[in-house]
Amino acid sequence: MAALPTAVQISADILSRKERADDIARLKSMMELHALEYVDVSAHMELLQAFERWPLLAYLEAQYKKPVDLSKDPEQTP
Amino acid sequence: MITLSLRGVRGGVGTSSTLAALGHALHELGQKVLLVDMCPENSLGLHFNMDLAPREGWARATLDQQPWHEQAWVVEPGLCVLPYGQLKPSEVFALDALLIEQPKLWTQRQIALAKGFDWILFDLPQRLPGHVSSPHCRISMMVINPDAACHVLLQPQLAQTPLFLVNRFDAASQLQRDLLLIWQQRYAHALVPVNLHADEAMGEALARSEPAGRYAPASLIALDIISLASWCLLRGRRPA
Repeated sequence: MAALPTAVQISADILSRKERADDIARLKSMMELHALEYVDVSAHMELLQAFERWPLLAYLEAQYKKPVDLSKDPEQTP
Repeated sequence: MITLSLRGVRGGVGTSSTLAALGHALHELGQKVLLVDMCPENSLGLHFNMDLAPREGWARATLDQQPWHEQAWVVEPGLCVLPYGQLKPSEVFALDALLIEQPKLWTQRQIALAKGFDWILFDLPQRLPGHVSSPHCRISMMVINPDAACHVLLQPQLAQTPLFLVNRFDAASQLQRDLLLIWQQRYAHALVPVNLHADEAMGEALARSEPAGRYAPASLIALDIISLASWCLLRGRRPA
């Protein structure tokens, strides 16, 4: 007799491709821990190390985040 | 019929070589392919052993009000190249203005070509807004190299470019691995999931007037291009 798909299988099916490839995202979905604030420390560390190695990349990362703040506060613009 | 365009974020990132190799790979996978040279340099045909800068082409014919579709060259059955043709610099700007004035010119041409081809691939110039915006393509990719200069240029392009294709990736380079990590973290949705590796065979192929897949079918870049062509086939079949 064929088994009906379980709730867990259904939730896994509707995940995006990126989430399916992300073990942590998948675990959170299966365990229904959507609010769990999990930080992938190793990926985060690698990213930080990349920015430490290459100052221009760190500078650009900071620049790209700035314009939103500047537009909110016109006094900061030169 | 599926339309695809490649444009470099700057010159020299390998856009034309990639387009020629992709056209050849799609043809190898049984598709009828037309490659359209949208660049005034008029040199896409060199990847297929055609003449250097042929006088006739779609741009020349458009300005002279001649039948543009008669200018295509048949490389082999089911694989055609439509050259740009020779234009003076002033004529290039006149044509660019014409393409801006008549934004549906290439859309109408694409409809007329739909019966004859499964794929139309456009090699877009880096500048010339009329040329760049004229073909409305189902899949539009911007070619980038994993270097700091491309990283600088990439950010302002994010809003208007749906897809980025990484070319000349060298996994032995720490900087390139770091850039790819940053791009995967920041722009995962916009990165084509196939990276094209740096491979001497790509440069050698042009020096032999051949697309990479024909010059060195077992090379790393030829295999990358086959993966890219397969991904394009899947993506093209997806409902618009």
